[in-house]
Amino acid sequence: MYKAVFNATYKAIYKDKAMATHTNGISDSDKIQHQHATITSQNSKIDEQKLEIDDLNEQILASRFDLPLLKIAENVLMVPLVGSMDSVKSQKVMEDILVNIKEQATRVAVIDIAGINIVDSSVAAHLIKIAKATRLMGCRAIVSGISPLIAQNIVNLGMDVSDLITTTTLQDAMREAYKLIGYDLVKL
Amino acid sequence: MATLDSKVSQLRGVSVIDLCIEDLHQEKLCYAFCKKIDAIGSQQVVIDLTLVDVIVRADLEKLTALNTGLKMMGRKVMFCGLNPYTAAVLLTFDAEVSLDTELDVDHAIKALSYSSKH
Repeated sequence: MYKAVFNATYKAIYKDKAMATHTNGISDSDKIQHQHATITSQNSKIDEQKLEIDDLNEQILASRFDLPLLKIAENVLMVPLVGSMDSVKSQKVMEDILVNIKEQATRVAVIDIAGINIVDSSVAAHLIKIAKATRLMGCRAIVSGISPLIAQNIVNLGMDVSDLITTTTLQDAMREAYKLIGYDLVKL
Repeated sequence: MATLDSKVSQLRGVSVIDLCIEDLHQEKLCYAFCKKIDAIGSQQVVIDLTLVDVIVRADLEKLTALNTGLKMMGRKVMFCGLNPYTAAVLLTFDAEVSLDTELDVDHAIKALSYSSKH
């Protein structure tokens, strides 16, 4: 008996509610769907804006990125690279090195990549591009800090690194640099 | 190419060609300079690009042709004076840039004399 009363009451309430929601011709489920769609589109806009902000931040960081160009000997420049390497940073590195070559008559640029987190095909391509550009300016590029893992990666990627002089340590790079400018390191 | 004579000078036994953008627009650049260098008779040639601020693909083709022409005549050729922006632009071209380059005329002459001795 209680069950019958409950069902009757529930049906009556449900009928009233259904009538109320149909007053404007839009059901609750339609409203929810509409709100859901609105929230989804707003979320996607927020995501897009976040990406734009990230891009801008990267650009600002790249512009603030102060590349240390160390003159370690007559006509020898050393460029220690640390952190990650992307196209923006690579372009900045290349421009700075090329301008330095022109202004300081640099003959050898030693680029130390021991501090770079990951050396993938993109980083290797950037390094080759920098080496080619420096060669066009009449300067030789030496890349130091090539670990066995990096060497293996570059070989596996099948990249042509014939334009690059590569060394494992900075010490070897220095020896090569001195040789290129006509000096030899001799123990006294 | 009326002022061809003024474009070629002799420095320590090496012919130095000073090129500017207008020269690169000349159609017979390769022929004219090959003829001039042949008349001078020098074996080593430096091509100075200091006055070339911008370079396009067609200019690179002309420079490559001049380089090839002079090398076919048995001359040793060295380019110099590329500015940083021109060097960066050259890398954006698909073609492989196979020019021997040095920083300036002085270094180019030294490199040529070094290569002739060794």
